[in-house]
Order: sequence, then structure tokens, then C-alpha cells
Amino acid sequence: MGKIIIEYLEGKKIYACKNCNVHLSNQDYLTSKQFTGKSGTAFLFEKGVNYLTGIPEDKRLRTGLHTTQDIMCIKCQTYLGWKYLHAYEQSEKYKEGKIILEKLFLTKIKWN
Amino acid sequence: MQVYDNLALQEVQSISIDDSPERLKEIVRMILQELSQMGYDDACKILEDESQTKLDTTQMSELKESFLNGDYENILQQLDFSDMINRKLQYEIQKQLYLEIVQQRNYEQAVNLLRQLSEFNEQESQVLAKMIFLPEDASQLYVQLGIPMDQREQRLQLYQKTLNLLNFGDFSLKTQFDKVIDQSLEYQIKRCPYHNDSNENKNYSLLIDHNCQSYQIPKNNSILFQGFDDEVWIAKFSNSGTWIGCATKKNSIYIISKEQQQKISKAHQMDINSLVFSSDDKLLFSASNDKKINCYDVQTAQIKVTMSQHTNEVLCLAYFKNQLFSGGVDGWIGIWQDNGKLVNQIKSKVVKNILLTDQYLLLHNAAIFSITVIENDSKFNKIITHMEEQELIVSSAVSQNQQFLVLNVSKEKPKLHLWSLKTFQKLHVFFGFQVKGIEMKCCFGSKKDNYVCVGSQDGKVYFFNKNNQLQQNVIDGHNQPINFVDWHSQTAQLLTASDDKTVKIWIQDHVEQQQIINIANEYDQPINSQQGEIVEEQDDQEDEEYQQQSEGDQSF
Ligand SMILES: [Zn+2]
Repeated sequence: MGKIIIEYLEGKKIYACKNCNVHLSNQDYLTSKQFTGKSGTAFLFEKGVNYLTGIPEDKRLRTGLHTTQDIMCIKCQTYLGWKYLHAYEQSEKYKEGKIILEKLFLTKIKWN
Repeated sequence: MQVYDNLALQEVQSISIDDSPERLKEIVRMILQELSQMGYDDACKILEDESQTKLDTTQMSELKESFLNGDYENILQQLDFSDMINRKLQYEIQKQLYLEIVQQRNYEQAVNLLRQLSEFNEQESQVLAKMIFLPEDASQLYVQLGIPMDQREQRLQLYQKTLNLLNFGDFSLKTQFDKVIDQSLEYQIKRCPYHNDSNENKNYSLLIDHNCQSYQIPKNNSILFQGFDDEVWIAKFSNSGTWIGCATKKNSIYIISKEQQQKISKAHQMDINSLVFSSDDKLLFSASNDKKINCYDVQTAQIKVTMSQHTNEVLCLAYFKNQLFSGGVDGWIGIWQDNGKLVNQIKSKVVKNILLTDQYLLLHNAAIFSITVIENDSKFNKIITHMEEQELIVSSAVSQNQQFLVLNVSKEKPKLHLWSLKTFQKLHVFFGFQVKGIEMKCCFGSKKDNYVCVGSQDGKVYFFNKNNQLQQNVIDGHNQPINFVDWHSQTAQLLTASDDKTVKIWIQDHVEQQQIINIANEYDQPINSQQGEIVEEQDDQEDEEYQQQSEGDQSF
């Protein structure tokens, strides 16, 4: 398998995989903390790095029908959240392309 | 080798002789022109008769006549002055005019002309000015200017200069043949898959197709080290080439040579990112995601000191002139003594690799797509430039002669970029190897750093000639993906490390029998948390000792 190529982020607060410390997103990309995932509190991010995506699936969420795919850590393959590919409701379109990371699987790296 | 044969075949197929009448005529005219310029008038006449091709010289003779008659007005009309070359020609003609006017003692017009001349070449104009004011020194001044005394000779020289400086109608100039030869040689060198630009092969000829031999490629496997506990991610030669430092996926470190193999199990808690030997090969340093840098005694494989000041993953190490450099995610470069004492800190970005030359400290940034070039003085605060890439730089290496940098930018598509450290320009792109999401180390190697080498996902090793973009050579390295290549310049040995849990040494010469060295597990030290603690305690003591020593040094 070899050593997987990892991207790194810079910024005051970085969100990383709790299991293996791989950088996933940072505060600049954080859009909302008001989401709920399988494990509880979840964050919506504009974008992220170092994740793998699963098969696209149609899911009925609280806010309506969406096409999503699971997100796993590129290094340790831990489930982290999901990515919005398509929102059927007009009011939910803003989520398309954005990602959800569940708080339980995240660790924060702070600088100074 | 296969690849080269294909290239050679393509080359042969692409050569077809254009025997159209225009081409033949052109060849004959070029020869005629060359013969005429060399003064072989008889040969020229015979060729003209036999080929029924006339060297049309009327336009030329008119021009020559104008020069010899000093009819500069006519010349200037015939020639179209547009670019820089013609500006130089105009200067030459005006200079001749000036010399003739001075001879006629028409000083007023001469001074006017001198003003124009000084705009183009101030230095020479000062010499020319002396022609007016120091006429008694004229002969000496002519020598200084490299101009003959006799006017007819002066005019002939000007005519020759003119021919050299411009293309006149469809009549090519004297140096055209020379130019064609230069271009052809350059082309041959560009097409030479094994090209080696070291001094011994400087005699190129058009009479034979130029091709360097591929002797420099270490394609024969001399030693196979097997029995590693997992995928080998790093394998690096020591400075002398005697020792090899290896790190595996299980975070074990191996310090091996032909005679002796030692294993340090669980050297780190997390991934090992870098290994580096001290200049004297006595110490091996390792950097890890566990935020620590360890220092081992190469002979005994015993840990000497652990440096724990980094607050995040340590991604890279470099050793330069008795100092260890470290960098990583926490945004500072540490400069350390062998005893583990931190002597300097430099603010940085997230740094994936540190490369040092006598002139520069190069920081390979991991969060932005660039290399920061910093002056290698003791302060490290002068940024020379940033070498910008369009995508993530995965790995990087600098050539032994410190003139080139190779960057692996294979995150999306496998490719290497060769940069010059003189001009900071991108020179070549190399591709053909396979990588998918895996960090692949690349390196320079062979005499004069002629090749760039990279491993491939398919277990092959690719060699690219740094002089051109042709694929050089491919060897079947391993059965599984290669993670690391290191080419030792003095011993000309190549090291490859693979997922197949082996490390191989490759040499240029024919190998009678491959040597297989089993890295037995007998060197395994049992690991338990207790021992780990004891080791750390010992470290602390050593730390203190070293500090005391260094304090003593300071007071001294
Ligand atoms: Zn992870």
C-alpha cells in the first residue's frame, strides 16, 4: 500500500481525524455547527481534504430527500460523516458539494 | 531497454529522404555557397555545370560593389533596419562612414555622427572620438578597434561583417552551414536517451548518429535484503554508502549493512516520516508522527536521545554540516546538535521536506504548493524566491551538484518536474511511471546527476535523463509497489524499498550471483511498556549530561 499522500492545512483551528490526526478541514470552511449526525452533533464544512467517499445514495433526512455519500478518513478509513451531492428541496440546495463531519470523530488542532 | 528500442525504431521510421527537386536544389545551393565562400571557385563552377544549378550572385555582387565604392547611402537603402541585429549593422556602417569622414577632415559632420554612434556603443565611441583629437595616434587606435588601416580592406571587412549579420534575400549567409551543423548536433543530443553531458564525450560528429551508452543505469540486482516485518517505506544509504537505514509500516527501524543487521522494533508510536544519518555516519535520526525525533547509535542500534520539543507531527529531517534540521506540522524548523540540544528555531509553514545546499535552505511546503528558497546563512531570514507549483508537491530531491531540484507532483497524475536552482525555472516534465495516492520518493543519480529516478506502483523503477524528456530506462524492481529509491553517487548503487517487505541494491556491473540476506528476527528486542519507560528515563539523564557539557562549551 505504501505511505498515503496526505494534504495539510494551515489556519488557527484545524479539524482532524480523531483516530489518526489527518487534517480534514479548518475553521475558515466551517459553515454551521447546527447539524446532527449518527453520533450526535455534526458540523457542515464548505470543503475538506484527505477523505474517501462511498457510493452515492438517496437518503431521507430531516430536511428532506438528498443524494449523499459517506465520507471516510483517507488514512485510517474511519467513518467521519457524509457529503451532499444533490438536494431535492430548493431550500436545501446550498448544501450541495458541502460536507458533514461528525464531532465525535474529530479532534481540534489549535495554534497559539 | 525495450523502451529504448521502440524509440530507436520510431526514429528510423520517421527518417525518409525528401528527394523533391526543390530540396535537391537547396542542398546543392548550400554546398555551392559554402564552396564559393571558402574560395573553391573551380569546384564551384564544376558543380554549377553538373547540377545545372546557378549560384545567383548578382544581388551579392551589387552589394559588394556598393561597399567597395563606399556608397553607404545605397547600402542603407538596400538594407531594411528593423531589429537589434540590424541596429548593430547600421552602427558598423556608420562607424566606417565616420572613419572616412575623419580621414577627409570633415570634423563637423564627424562629431554629429559620433553623437549617434555613442548612443549604441559608448565605449567604442570614446576610442573613435580620439581619431579627431589625437590624429597622431591613429595607427594605434586602428589596432585598438581591430580595423585595418587600408580603406579598401576596411570596406571589405565591413562587407564580410554585413554578410555575417543578416540574411540577404534568398541568399543565406556564410555561417548558415555552420548553423545547420550546430542545430543538428543539438537535436541529436536532445534525442539521445542516455545522454551524458560530462566532459569525456564532447566530440560530437555529424558523420555518425550520436548515442551515449546506457552503462550508468544500475540495472543488476546484487543484494536482496528480505525478512522485514512489514512494507518498507524508507530505505536510505548512509553518507559513506556502508549502512542502510530502513523504516517499515510497523514503525520499526532497521540499521543494516552487508555484515550486520539490527532491528529496532516499534521505534516510534506512529508513522516514521524521515531517516537521516549524521555526516560521520555514527548517528541515525528518525522523525515521526508521534512528534518525536529519535537518535540512534549506528553501530549498536541503541537509542541515544529523544527530542520531544515539536508539538505536532515531525515530517522531515535533514543533516547539514554537523547540524540536524527538522520540520513538520507545527510550523517551525528546528536546528539541533547531535546531543539533542535545540540551537535554533526558524518560523515556517507546514514543511514536508528540508533540502540544503551550500547556498540555499529549501523548504518544501505541504499546505501550499511551493518551495521556499532561503539564503543558507546562519540567520535563515532572507527569502530568495518561491518556486510555485500548481498542485501538491509529494516528494522532492536536490541533485548532488546542487544545481537541480526534482519535484514529484503525482497526486492527480504521475509526473515529476525538474527545476533549475540557478534560474529557478522549470526545465522538464517526466512521466510514464504509475502512482496512485502513494507517496513516492524520487532522487537524482549517476555521474553528474545525469538521471532522475523514481519508483512505480507496478514495482518498476523509472530512469529519466535530466537533459531531455525521453524515457530512459525501466527495470523490473519488485513484485509490489516501490516506496523509496536512493541512489548513492560515490558507489553508484541504487537502493529500492518496496511493499513486498524487501530492500534491494542495484549496481551497473553484471552480477554473477545475487546475494540474499535474511534479516532474521533474532535481533528483535521484546517490547513492553516497562522497558519503554526505562529507556526514556535513561534518555532524560543523557539529556542532562549533554546540557552540562554544552554549558561547559559555552563558558569556554
Ligand atoms: Zn483517520
